[in-house]
Amino acid sequence: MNECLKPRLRSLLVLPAVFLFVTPCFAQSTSIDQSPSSASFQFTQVDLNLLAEVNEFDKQLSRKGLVLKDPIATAYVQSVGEKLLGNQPPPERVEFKFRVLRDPTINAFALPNGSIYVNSGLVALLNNEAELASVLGHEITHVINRHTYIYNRSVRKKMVMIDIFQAAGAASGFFPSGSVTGAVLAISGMLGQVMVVTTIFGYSRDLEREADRYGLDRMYHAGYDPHAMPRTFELLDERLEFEPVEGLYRDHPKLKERQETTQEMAEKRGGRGLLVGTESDYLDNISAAVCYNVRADLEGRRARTALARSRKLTQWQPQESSYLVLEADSFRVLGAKTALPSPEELQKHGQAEHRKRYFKLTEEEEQRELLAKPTGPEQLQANLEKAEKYYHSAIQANERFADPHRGLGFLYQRQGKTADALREYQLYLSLAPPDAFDRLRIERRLTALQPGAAPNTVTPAKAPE
Amino acid sequence: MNFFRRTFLAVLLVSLDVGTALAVTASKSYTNPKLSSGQTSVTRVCMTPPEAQLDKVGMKGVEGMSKESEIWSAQLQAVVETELKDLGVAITSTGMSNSDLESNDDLRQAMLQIQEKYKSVATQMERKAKDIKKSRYTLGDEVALLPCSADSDSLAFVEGEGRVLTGGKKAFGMLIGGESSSRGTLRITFVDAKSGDVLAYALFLNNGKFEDDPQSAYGKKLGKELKKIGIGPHEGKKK
Repeated sequence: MNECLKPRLRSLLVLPAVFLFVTPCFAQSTSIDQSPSSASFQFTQVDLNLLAEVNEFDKQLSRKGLVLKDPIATAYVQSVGEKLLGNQPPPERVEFKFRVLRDPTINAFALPNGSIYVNSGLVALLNNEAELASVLGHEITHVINRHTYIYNRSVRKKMVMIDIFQAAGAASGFFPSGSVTGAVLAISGMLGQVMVVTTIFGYSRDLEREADRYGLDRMYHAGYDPHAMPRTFELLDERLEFEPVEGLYRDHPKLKERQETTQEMAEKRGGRGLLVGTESDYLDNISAAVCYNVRADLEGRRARTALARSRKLTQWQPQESSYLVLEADSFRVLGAKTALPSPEELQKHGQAEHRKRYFKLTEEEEQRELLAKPTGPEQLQANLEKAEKYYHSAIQANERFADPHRGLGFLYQRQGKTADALREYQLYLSLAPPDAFDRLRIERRLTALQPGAAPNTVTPAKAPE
Repeated sequence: MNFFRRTFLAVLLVSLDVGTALAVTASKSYTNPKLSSGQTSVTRVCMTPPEAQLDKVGMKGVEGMSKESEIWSAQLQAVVETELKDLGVAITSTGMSNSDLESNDDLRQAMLQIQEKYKSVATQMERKAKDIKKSRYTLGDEVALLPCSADSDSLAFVEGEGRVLTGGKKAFGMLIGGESSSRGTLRITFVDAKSGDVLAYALFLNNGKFEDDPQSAYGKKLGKELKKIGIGPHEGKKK
């Protein structure tokens, strides 16, 4: 089934932090340098416990339906991963699997059992196979070099130290106010904790650097142009939306630094002329994940991102009606917002303001606030006109396609054009398959719009649609 | 010195025992005036798959409890369903179990979409839950994407979050005055199955053995709170 034709959404995953962080060792490849610590890695009971937990977590991702089921995208990601692995046998207790996760967060992660997940948010951001290979190469290094196990061991030790410092801080309370011993204990307790936490993040950053280094080597040996890695970091710096989870990359070295470092490494390594892949080939394989993600972004109040990704699809296949509908939907949901952030929004202060508004205001309240600004109504009008234009283009491309009529219905109802909205909803219902999930919703709207309908049957004005 | 040490340890042990014995469930709820005035009612509920997560907190940090979380999720759902049925509410989520969703990817997508929308709204709702009384929060008529919404007057979202402390961590918490008991939070949100408006939001916090026996931990309080909110059929109320 075409992934674009049905709305779908990711479930925001809160992954145990330990799975996202990883540590340094070396691969066992004949052509790639190896980390001495990973070569001599021995499983302990702590590692086996972690592995059991990870295996269960891995199964749950599938059971919860969070793994993208599109066979083309899945086979493609798996094939790129296997190409990077070459003939190298997997390490003990590792079975490599490469999958796309239904999650619009721009991220990828590796579980120590060999399951590597690239979020649909990241898949949609990338432009070619080599960029995907740079992500997978990085994650493979985490697995082969046993980073998760080593990091987990390190954190466990450091947590005990934090406990000791906490106890020291608490013990300061037993001393009389103003006593030197009490003050020393309080300060050392506090500083000690800060220092240990700093070493944890510092250690994690070292592991990320190592994964970049060996990931880049792995790309080169698999026949990919390693210059794709710094380009990927450049893409990661995209700031269409603010970062809802503050410090998502806190454990990672700064993107700018990673970009520069990997650029230097790529220059030294060479490899210009090796495989990069075209955007067209990439989208040919991965478009289902991109479509899924556009829908997810629209649901998650990231209309700017949705618009950027849907434009990628319409530029690739300008006559594909489902892509045109996605672009139209993006403009419609954008409402009074601009397609790109203003220079003020890109400033640190602007980002903070944006974050504050996101947590404080509902989507509808945010739109109302934007409309109250002098440029708001004009912006809304422009976006809705574009949405209407793309819906009509989609109908022109495929007049039997129901979805653009649904979108037009939403748009006209929002503009108060009841007769037009009624007509479009009726057209949608006549064209949509009998088992369309949206049927009931549209029928209810239709009923509510009919003359003499009871007020408040549905609340389209409040609905983000 | 020995006397002080012995006294201190005795106090610590007694406190731990008392702490466990005094496990309580606190609750708080917010109701949309549409529900409290009887304009709408919650009598046929479609339960969305529960989302619950347990973490084990020990001296060496936090560990996941994936398997236990899954079991706990199912238990929480069972507790909520039991209490709703006791209030005369019909459960209409037939065909919406995890195994049903597993075999129907389209339905799974619709469910993920609604859950995503719920999370987006919950961001503000949890921050200012009292605004439910002002009818401020809605998921929109998108809730009709779930087939069960045709046959229900509301949808229920059940979420759980628990921090299970090890014995060592509890004792350490008592010593230094930090976190010294496990805590499990249960959240239930009722949403109008047509308009998507949030009708009620109830929050339960337990510091006992919530992970082993959710029925004892939440059941009684849950029943009382749901009744207070106005869940279930109410004859004679204005429709």
